[in-house]
Amino acid sequence: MNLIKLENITKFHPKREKAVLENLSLSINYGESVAILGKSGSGKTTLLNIIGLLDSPQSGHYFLESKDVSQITKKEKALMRNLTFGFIFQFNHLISHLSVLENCLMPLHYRGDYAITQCAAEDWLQALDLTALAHRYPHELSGGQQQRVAIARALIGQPKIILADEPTSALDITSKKTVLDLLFALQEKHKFTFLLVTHDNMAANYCQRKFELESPGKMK
Amino acid sequence: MIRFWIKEATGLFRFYKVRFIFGLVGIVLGIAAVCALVSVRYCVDQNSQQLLKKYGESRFVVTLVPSGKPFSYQNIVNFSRELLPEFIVMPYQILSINAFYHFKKMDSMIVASVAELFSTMQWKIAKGSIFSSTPNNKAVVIGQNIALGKQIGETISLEGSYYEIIGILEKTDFNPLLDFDPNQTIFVDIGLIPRLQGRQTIDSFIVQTSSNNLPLQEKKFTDIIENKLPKASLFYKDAYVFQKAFLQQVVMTVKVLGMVAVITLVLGGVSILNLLMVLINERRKEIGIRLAFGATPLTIGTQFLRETLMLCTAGGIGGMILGNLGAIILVKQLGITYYFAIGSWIIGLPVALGIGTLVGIVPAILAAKLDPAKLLN
Repeated sequence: MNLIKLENITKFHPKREKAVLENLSLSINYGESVAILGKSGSGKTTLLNIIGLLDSPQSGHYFLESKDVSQITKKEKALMRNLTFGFIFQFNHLISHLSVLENCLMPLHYRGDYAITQCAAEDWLQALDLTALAHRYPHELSGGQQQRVAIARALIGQPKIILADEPTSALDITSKKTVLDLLFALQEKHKFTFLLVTHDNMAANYCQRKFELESPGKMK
Repeated sequence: MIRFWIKEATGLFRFYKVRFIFGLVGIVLGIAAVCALVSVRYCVDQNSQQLLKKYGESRFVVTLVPSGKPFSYQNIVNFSRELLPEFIVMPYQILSINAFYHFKKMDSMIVASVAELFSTMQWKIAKGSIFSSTPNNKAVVIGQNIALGKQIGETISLEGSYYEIIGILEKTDFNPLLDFDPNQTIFVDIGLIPRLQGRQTIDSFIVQTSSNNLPLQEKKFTDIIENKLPKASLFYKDAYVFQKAFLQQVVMTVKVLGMVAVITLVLGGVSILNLLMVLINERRKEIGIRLAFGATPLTIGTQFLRETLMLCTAGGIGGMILGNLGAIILVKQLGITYYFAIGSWIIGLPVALGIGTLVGIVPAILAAKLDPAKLLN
């Protein structure tokens, strides 16, 4: 059974007539690591947003664990995002006025669980060697440390799917390798499904499968 | 959960401190002006009530300018009896004569009155006693200011005759209803008017009525007097005249304070609204991240509203303290007594939260409606 199944997904850019994704179909199984490659503007991020329920397609069907999630409400999408997905963004997008610990706790707070979350966060911070930084603020951290915090935040809720949008593109070569090694070691250990959007072949080589998007959003 | 919210909001305030300080100053000033207004208005009301109580809510002073035959002492006695019990009329007359003590002219006024005037006006005797209302009683009661160095039993010379000091008044408050200061007055019995003044005219009365409706009572009194002396002119003075004068004196301050309260409150609200709109724009990525990690539009909306209300709560508390301290200073500047108004402490928070809800709801809705995909790109 596929974890993610996209059927004929089409998405137009709001201000352009041209399709960003056109009749795109894709299946991803449980525990797989998949790289989505493509040039700038090929629709990689749009595809990731649709898979992560941050965006909706204009046509086509999206089945998540065999459930058609193309037409579900915003509230249902929010709940699914919280329970099923973990996001890692290109520029880490940590919340500046929250400490490392508070940033990590955020996904659990949206589950309404304030009591046991602190212990869970501390475990993850320890696993990612961030315990000493728990009460620091993002601007006090290096780029590599910030990305590790972003990884901890994505994994803390133990989601089934991790969506990473160019997570290493803003890092230097050493930090890039450290972060990728860490991510795939965690994937190996926790068996989550991992979708990596990148234009970097080195990062894509870590994944079990690769898809390349050609403009306008067609799979090669 | 609440602890987390407070911690989160504290971090936010610390991060955007300059902007929050501007917003906070706006709301603090607005709430301070409202609290000060409530406090000052309460003090004005209390002072006004005290003024009525002090000068008597059921008492008025009438000055009579007769055209024709004036009132004599005997007329007054007869007339007073007719008016009982609705009006207790206590005549008095300021005499245009001088008093001498050991051949030295005294700086005092001489007032002929009935003995009942002392109890009605609640003037207390410090030493000796009050004269009895019998004609030809050559006794005087003197006010506290002119009593210095004088003893009971000594004499004062009035129009060539000696009058014995039989009583000294306690220091009393000045009552503007009367045309004389009791502390600076020598009181003689009203029966001595013909002897001291050479004529029997009496033109001033203190009238104690059975009702607090002074305008009505004054009208009734006028009708009665005009019936007796058709061409007489009557001039009334009562506590309401002084209450009106007092209120005229402070009304401008209260009005200005009211206007300041409205303007600062509006400006405070606008500054918070502006702050929220700027912050929504600056926190677009944060909203996107929160939505990505499972926040619902409602959660985002309530978060923004909650932060606004927290800011307004802080502003409300600050404004309450500042406003009430300001009110104490303002009340002192007005020269009136300060009274603690619980309302001025209670009103700050509800007004601040009301303003917060009013200005916070639209930005909260706008924040909740944002599209996560657009925010994160």
